[in-house]
Amino acid sequence: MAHQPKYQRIADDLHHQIKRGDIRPGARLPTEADLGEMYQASRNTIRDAVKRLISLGLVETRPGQGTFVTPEVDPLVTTLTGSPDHRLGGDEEIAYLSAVNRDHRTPRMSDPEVRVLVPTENVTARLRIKSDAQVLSRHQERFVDDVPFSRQTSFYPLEFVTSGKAPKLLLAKDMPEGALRYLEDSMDLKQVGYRDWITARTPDGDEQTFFRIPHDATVFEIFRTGFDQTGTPLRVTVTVFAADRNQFLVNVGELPDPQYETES
Amino acid sequence: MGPPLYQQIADDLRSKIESGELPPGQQIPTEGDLQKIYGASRNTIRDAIKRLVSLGIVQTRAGQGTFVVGAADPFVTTLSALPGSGFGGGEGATYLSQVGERHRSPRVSLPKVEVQVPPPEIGLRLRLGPGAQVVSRSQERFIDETPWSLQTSFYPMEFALKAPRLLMAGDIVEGAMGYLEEAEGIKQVGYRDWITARTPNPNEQSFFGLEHDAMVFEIFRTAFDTTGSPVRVTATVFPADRNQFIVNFGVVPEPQYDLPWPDDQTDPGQPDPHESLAEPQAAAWRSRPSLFSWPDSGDHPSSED
Repeated sequence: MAHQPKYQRIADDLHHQIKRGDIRPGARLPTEADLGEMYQASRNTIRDAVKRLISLGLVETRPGQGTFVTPEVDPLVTTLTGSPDHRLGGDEEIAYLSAVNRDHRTPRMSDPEVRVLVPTENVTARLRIKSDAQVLSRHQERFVDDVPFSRQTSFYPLEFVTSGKAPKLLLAKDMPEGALRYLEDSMDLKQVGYRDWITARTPDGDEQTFFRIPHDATVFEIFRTGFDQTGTPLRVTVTVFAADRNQFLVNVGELPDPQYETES
Repeated sequence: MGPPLYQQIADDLRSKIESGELPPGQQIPTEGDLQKIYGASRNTIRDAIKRLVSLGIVQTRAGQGTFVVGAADPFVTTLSALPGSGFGGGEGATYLSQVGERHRSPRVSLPKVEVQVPPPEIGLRLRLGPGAQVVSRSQERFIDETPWSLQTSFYPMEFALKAPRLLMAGDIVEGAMGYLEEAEGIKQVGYRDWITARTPNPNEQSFFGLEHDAMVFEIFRTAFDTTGSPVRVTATVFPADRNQFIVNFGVVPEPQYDLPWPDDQTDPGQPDPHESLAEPQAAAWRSRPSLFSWPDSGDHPSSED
């Protein structure tokens, strides 16, 4: 290849300096203007270089403060296929917390916000209900060591509560035993399988603020549809993960432990 | 204060596309023209277009311009083993038949073979010491002539000594894993997919026709043999604007059941997917994606060896 574009060379140089420790984790990068002088480059070129570093998760922009070398946060690795240590039908909440605990990190979850609403077609189609049907939604935000990692909304058919069978879904409190366990106890609905549908897109305004990422960053959006004994969807959970700090595993067949593949 | 200008412009263009004013296949005005139309800076126009690209509504073709994409029609790849396909060998075959069912045709370039010291993320997954060499086999994959993915499989060098066809730049008709089993008695009994996302490198930008700040999935598939040793790592890069993935766990109905349901067919009490798939309704099902299992390179005769 003849020549790399200039923004790429600048990004590579900064990348090197960060890797070597010349610019330390948590330190502030020089301003755009200073970088422009250092590299004799236009503001747009500098911006492209910085964007490249952001997309690599090496730096982050804090509104009104500048651009900082990302404090060392290992990506959180979430296993999408159930792990042997939790039974199928175990809740995402539980799976998530144990995955985090394994890495000796401190998880925190906001209390759920509960709403009754008409969701997008992405949700109604997966729940197999009419596109104007109302559902119950429970929204939670997840942090690890106070870094925002994901935002999750679960959608349940409204009749679960209107029938009086599962009223606790309406409470804006975390369910320690997990919502799926509650549905099994209260309605005899058992989740026997789920499907994850994995997509990626740019974040909306809310997500940019929450994750502190730029508008052209990447988020994963994963739609998990849980199915009961009769093959009927009982819940759709939509989770948005910032791509710079989340990775996912899928295990099929016989495998050793995933730790074997990572550096630490 | 309303949304930022780029967002307003993106929304306006989107409504023109959805109303049909800008039909599928149509080239949208150039950046220069859009600047005049909206009285906005070039960067703002670019951000608006990026937004539409990221939503999969328009596609930028290098050197040609930006075009309205047809009905949403992403490629959907199943990462978990498909029921009934068995494990380890069936994925490729299922892939072909599913593509056939959807009337979409896959094409794969001949493998490009190299001997190299692999990047760290590959060496770690193959559990190789520093400096150890591997054989890599790279292929470009297309569906209906749209660039779909770039795939490179890495094998420990010692395999190539016993299974020399790994070094040849030709298809291995029985599939690379079938060949390894035959030549060396190595049998794949499981795999792990490691899913990440990042921006594309220059090579990927030109192959897929992406901007440098677009998004790609990069999925590392590590295959394990009966002793729990990694025998192959396959790194596949998929542009996020045209690819989605499915993972099934436990007992689940066919994936088609999850897809947008035509309004008049909606009835949670008696879902009969076959009914809804019948011809008259099928037309209403515009946004139905096409389903693929992952053609695990080497498991399919006519895709990567």
